[in-house]
Amino acid sequence: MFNLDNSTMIWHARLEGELTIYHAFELYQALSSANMGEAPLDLDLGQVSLVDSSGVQLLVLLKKVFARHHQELRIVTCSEAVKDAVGLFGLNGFFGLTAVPVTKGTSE
Amino acid sequence: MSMDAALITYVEECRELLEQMEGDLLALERGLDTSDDSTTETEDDNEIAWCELINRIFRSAHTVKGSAGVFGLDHIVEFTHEVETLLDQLREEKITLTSSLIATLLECKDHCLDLIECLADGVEEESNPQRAERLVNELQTFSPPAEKDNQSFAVSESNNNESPAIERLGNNGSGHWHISLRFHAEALREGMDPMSFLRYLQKLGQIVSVVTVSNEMPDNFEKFDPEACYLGFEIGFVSHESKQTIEDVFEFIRDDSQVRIIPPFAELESYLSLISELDQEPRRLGEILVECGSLTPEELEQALAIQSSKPQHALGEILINRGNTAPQVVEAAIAKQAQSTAGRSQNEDRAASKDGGTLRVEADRVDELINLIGELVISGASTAIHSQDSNNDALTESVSTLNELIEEVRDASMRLRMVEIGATFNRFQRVVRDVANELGKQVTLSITGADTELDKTVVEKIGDPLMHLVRNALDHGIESPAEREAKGKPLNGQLKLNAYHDSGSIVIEIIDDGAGLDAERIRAKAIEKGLIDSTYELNKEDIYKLIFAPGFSTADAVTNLSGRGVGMDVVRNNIVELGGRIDIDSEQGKGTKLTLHLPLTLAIIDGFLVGVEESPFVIPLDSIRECVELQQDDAVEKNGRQYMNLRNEVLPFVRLRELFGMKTERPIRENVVVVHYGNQKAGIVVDRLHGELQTVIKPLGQLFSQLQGIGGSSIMGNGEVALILDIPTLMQLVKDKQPHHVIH
Repeated sequence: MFNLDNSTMIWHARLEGELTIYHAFELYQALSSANMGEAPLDLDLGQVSLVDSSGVQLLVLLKKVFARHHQELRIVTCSEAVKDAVGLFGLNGFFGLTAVPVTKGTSE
Repeated sequence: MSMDAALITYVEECRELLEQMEGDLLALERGLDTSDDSTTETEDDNEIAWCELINRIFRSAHTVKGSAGVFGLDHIVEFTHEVETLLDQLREEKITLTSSLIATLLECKDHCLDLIECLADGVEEESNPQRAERLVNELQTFSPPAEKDNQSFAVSESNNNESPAIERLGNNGSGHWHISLRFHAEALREGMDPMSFLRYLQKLGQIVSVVTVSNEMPDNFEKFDPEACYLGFEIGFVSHESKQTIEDVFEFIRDDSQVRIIPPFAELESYLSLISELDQEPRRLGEILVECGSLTPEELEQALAIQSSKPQHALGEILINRGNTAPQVVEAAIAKQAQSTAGRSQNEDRAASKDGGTLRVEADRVDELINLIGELVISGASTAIHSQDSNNDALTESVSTLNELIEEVRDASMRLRMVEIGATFNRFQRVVRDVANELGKQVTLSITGADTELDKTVVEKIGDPLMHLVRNALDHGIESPAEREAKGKPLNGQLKLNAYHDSGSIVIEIIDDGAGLDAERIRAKAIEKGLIDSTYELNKEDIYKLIFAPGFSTADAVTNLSGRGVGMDVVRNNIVELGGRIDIDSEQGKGTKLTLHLPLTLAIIDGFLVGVEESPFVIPLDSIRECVELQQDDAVEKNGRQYMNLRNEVLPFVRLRELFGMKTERPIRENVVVVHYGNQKAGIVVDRLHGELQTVIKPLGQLFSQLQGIGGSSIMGNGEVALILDIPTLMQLVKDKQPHHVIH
């Protein structure tokens, strides 16, 4: 799930499928096992089909963890579902999502 | 708690609401029928009752819809919205109530219930779109023509769940609602997704601004629980809905989460108290409020200035002194007041119990509590014995106080399981109406003893047998109007359901004034079916009992209601399984009375301790009439049965020592415990009478399941095991007792 690009020293991560309470624990484990924070993270959410509050919450946590380490977390692509959920929570600014391209056809 | 706990609660609540709605609709219908010739009630009284009924039906539909919205059950929202719209028009007297309208509404209620039942089975979509469509069309034909356009507009608006209107619409001052939410940590695990609440709000109006508050959330992985909810929201919201409607959105989370709703144009103090109540840095929250557009920066400064100049505790007082003067608040308050006064006048008890709030508890937990209290009763009893032995008066006294309290706790906990039979009975109003219509008969159902309480498990299990008996009474019992006229009976048939308590059991009667049972015909049919031999001489009671035999049906025509001959035997088996029995009493041409005797199935009983030799036995106190000494002169033995003269009454009796094969000599003095069950009396002869005690029934093991006359066992305070006598079967044994018949 995570790749550290050795030339740029930037983490790349791609989350797919459902970011919902049913997968929250599993995702959390995957995210927390990677030793993150020492480098910025580019997050690809283009293939996320469904997001609920727990999913948004997890993204907020990630953002907070990176902020604590003074590292940047950028969402580089996002799906309709992500855009919709983040927008609903008024977190577009927090995630800097307004300028992020939206992948079509993946949302349900 | 499982993820679907909230949904289960919703399903249960809907069932209750829909049931109540059905009852109210039927009450309206009855009102319609009698309104022409009603002279007993003044018109005004009628009017008030009607308004309240319609209001209540409206509220039921509204709650079903509102909660469905929270769960994102669009199909239910859409359908109930139609129902609600019509009810609203009814409420505003834009349309008049007709019996066909009630019939349609009843069907709508059925459809809702089907949707809910599907939901309970995990199907979250329209199960019967054709019916939904037909009903919606039917509903719309009732609407006044001028309303139709509005209505379709309202529908399309409510369905408009596209475009998440998040973009800030500019500052409204404080002209919008402000909703402050702090979800409790378990919200997600309980299936309460904050997102669905926000989405539902979008349907009620427009969310102009949202600020997600996540300061409860840790900023490292270690402390974070991915399934806990750390979210809170400050929401600016524009809507024309009432405060009640908006509050209802959060009905399911109100208890655990923090929900604060500030109406438009509220005084600054409302925001101030919000700031002070939420345990958060005031300035930060204030800024959030500004960000939401609920406060202007100037107002925030002003508010913080007021706050710092006043001691904290005075905030609430300011609020009360100045009062909330926003017009919506006043309006909502008046509406609510009007609603509640009307409610009181109609059905005070019901309203009070609803307002008093109910708590849903899993049955297992109650059982566990009752079990523990059972143990408590036992150890209380043993403590009492030890305290008496210790000759310590102070100890004895406090132990006796303790035991009194235990007794009260026991009674209170038993009542937790008890429910009134009324709800079960009321369900039959609809059944009687529908079945009577189908059969072209006129039947009035009257219910008495609806407040008789019995154990919830028993209530659940008698529903089906009762249904069968009621249908049977309608189908075979009550005659068609033509037949009734020919017999000189009133055209309207009477069906009566009655319940009452009798010596530790509950009695349910189903009485009809129909044709009654034809003993000869039953006998002939039984012979034809080979159930009995034609040479058998049977008394009436035994002949009646044949209708419970498997495969027996006297119906000439098999209808889809009854008459297939499956059922009556199943009914009897169900009742017997519950430890009950059915008696039939009938007079040809006059009617039939079915009497169901059922145990209350209490885990703890008040008992009377008796002794035979060294063995203790417990007789349920409810079944005891009196205790007398056995006068050997009064006792006679005839045909292997023993009788005694009890004040010139013949009382059959049985000696426990003989019944249970105890071989020792009889003592010189014996005692008779006179017990009764139903209308029978019998004597149980024992050696000694010890007195009353409370006891916990422990079921006997599988090994002893065939043992007759013993209902269970109990461990007494001193550790001894006492057997609890099962009076009904014991009475049967006394009656049937053959010479030298001994139970081993």
